[in-house]
Amino acid sequence: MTHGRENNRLRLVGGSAVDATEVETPAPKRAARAAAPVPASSRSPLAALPDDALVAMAQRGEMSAYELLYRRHASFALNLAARIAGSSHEAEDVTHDAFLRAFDGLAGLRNPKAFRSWLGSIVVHAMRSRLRRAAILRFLGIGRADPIEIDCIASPDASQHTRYELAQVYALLRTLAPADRIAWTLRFVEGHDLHATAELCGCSLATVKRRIRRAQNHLDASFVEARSDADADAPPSEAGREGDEGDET
Amino acid sequence: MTRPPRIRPESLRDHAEPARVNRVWRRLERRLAVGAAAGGGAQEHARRSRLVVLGVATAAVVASFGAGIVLGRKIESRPAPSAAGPVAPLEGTSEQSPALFAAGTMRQAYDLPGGGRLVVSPGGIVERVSQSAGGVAVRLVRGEAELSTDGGASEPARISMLVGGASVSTEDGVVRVRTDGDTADLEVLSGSAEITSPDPEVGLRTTTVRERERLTVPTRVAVTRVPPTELTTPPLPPRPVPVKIAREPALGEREPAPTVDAVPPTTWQQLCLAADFAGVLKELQANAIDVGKVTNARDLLCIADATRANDSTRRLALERAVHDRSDPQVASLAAWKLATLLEQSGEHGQAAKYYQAYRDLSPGGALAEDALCNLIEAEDRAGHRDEAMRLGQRYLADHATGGCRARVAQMLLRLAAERAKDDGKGTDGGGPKTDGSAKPGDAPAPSGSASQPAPSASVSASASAKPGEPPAGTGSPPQAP
Repeated sequence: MTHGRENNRLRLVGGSAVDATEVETPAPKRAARAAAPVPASSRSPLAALPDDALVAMAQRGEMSAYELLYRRHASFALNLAARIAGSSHEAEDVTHDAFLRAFDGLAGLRNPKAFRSWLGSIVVHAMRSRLRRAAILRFLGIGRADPIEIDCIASPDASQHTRYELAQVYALLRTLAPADRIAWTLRFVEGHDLHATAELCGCSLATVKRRIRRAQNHLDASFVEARSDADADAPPSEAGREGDEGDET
Repeated sequence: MTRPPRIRPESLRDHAEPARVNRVWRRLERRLAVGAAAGGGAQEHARRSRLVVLGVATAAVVASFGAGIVLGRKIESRPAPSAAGPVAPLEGTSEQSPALFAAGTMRQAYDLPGGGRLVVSPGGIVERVSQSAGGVAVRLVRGEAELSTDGGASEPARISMLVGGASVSTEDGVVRVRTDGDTADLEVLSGSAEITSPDPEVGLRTTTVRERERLTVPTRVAVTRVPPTELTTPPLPPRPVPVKIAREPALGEREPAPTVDAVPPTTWQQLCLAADFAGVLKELQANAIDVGKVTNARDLLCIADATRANDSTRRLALERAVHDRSDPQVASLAAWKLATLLEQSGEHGQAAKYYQAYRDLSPGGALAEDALCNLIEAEDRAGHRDEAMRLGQRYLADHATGGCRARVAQMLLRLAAERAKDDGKGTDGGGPKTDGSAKPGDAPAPSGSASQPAPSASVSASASAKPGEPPAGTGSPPQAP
């Protein structure tokens, strides 16, 4: 489902409201969303405005602009937080805090068109802080790691085999350093390109490639396949090509 | 070196449900409104200053606390928890939510509720089957895992692990179990464990394994598949003795499925053995396999696993698996799965039927007590008040330290109050069913009999008992006033 993958790609430049709405909503969920009550703000003529215009209005304190910005990017932020964490427990809090921080700091946003990527970097930063804090607490013996609740990761439509594989991938990701884990997740779970991944991580392209390669090497060395013969449901990983991409720099 | 498969977007859950998006917006809206009301840069600055001070104070407290813990650990010279990696507790997770425990290169440890720990070896996958105050049951899907009653909470728990048609349980030990699909290899590192495995001669064989002993048992009844044309041509491979169930089954009185199938193992059956459920699903779809014609319980269970996304097919497969009595262990697992599926879809009456089926098929099984608890609650939700009360009182009498005594006692209290209310209205309080689904032979409970609930103080005392503790009047049903 190429459409779905593109859905998750980070748009460095905010598009029109129509584009953003289409991009954010995966096809299978559209019907369900259509049945949900439509917020008044989405019927507003403001809904057609691009991000930079909404940011300008929000800077003047217009609540409807805040809401439109939120509804346009909430899906992106929620999924980003949940997939980095590997659970949905913290996703709401992180999304709430990230939007609050973003709205508080709108005055300092230099490129209003890049609201989405800026918001994404806030979410990533918050998640990295949480992962590091959790690691420290676990080291001290007072923290608890979340179990791999596969329903929080896998779609209800995913096959049992895929669910087992995802569980194992997330178990492996848990053993990685937060920075490496986040970079790999953004690249291969969220499906962002390398530039967007670097921007979200707030580091250089070379650094993010290094992190991804480190994580990939760990996964390659550790992943245990259920059976040795070719699996139709799991075509050869395109993740393995990341090392080649990394060598380009 | 194996590369992990590409993660497809459609395999991932979409977390942006409209309800959640709206919920977060409501929180945001309140905060934004408060911020707007406060207004002004000075107030914002003051707020930030307060936050900074608060942050510094919090950091100082946390640092002091952390330093104290580190110091305490150094003084006590206690060893590190284990090389098994972080411990992931089960507390707080939804009992109905399926959970998988997996491990990559490192062994991964998980705390289990009620005490005990599960350590999954690299490449292993374990699935939670049930969880209650009395213990937890898990299923070893593949690889190796270690069960321990030590660690985690203070109370020791009974931990059970299902491996195919076999089950391992321990109350006081450390047990390592590994499986290759056909057999389960049990090694008791300390304490003791009981292993129940299918046996073609006696049906089920239960063996107690002591410390430092090992035991390898089959996880399935040997089934020889012979093409029909060969059935008449000697020499035939020895036919396995069909497994007989000690108790008369309560569900559909079908004949046990033949243990000799008509066809050799097909591709999808081989994929089942390899636990490749995605492959199984594709094969089933490609060959338009009719689930209604599959007779082997293990195959049906595999189909049910492969068709998780399709409730009707999954349900049909599980129903047929329950009725294949050639492998009662598999049939009982199918009954359990079907009951939980039905309960989740709100069909409590049907769920109760299959919880009962589990109990009939596996009366001493690892999930027998859980099945009774769930059966009682399912009967209650289905509106079968008398049956729920009868079973609840039986549970309280039979399980002095049962994990769901408090829940059952509370339920009895509520049902008794409901009945008293009905009696007050002049309705038939002892009527067999409140929903008109009385079975033939159901009779009103005689007043003052053991099945008569009591809305009085003795029941209240039961209801107020702590989980895991017997209510007042342990071992006996609540007394009538």
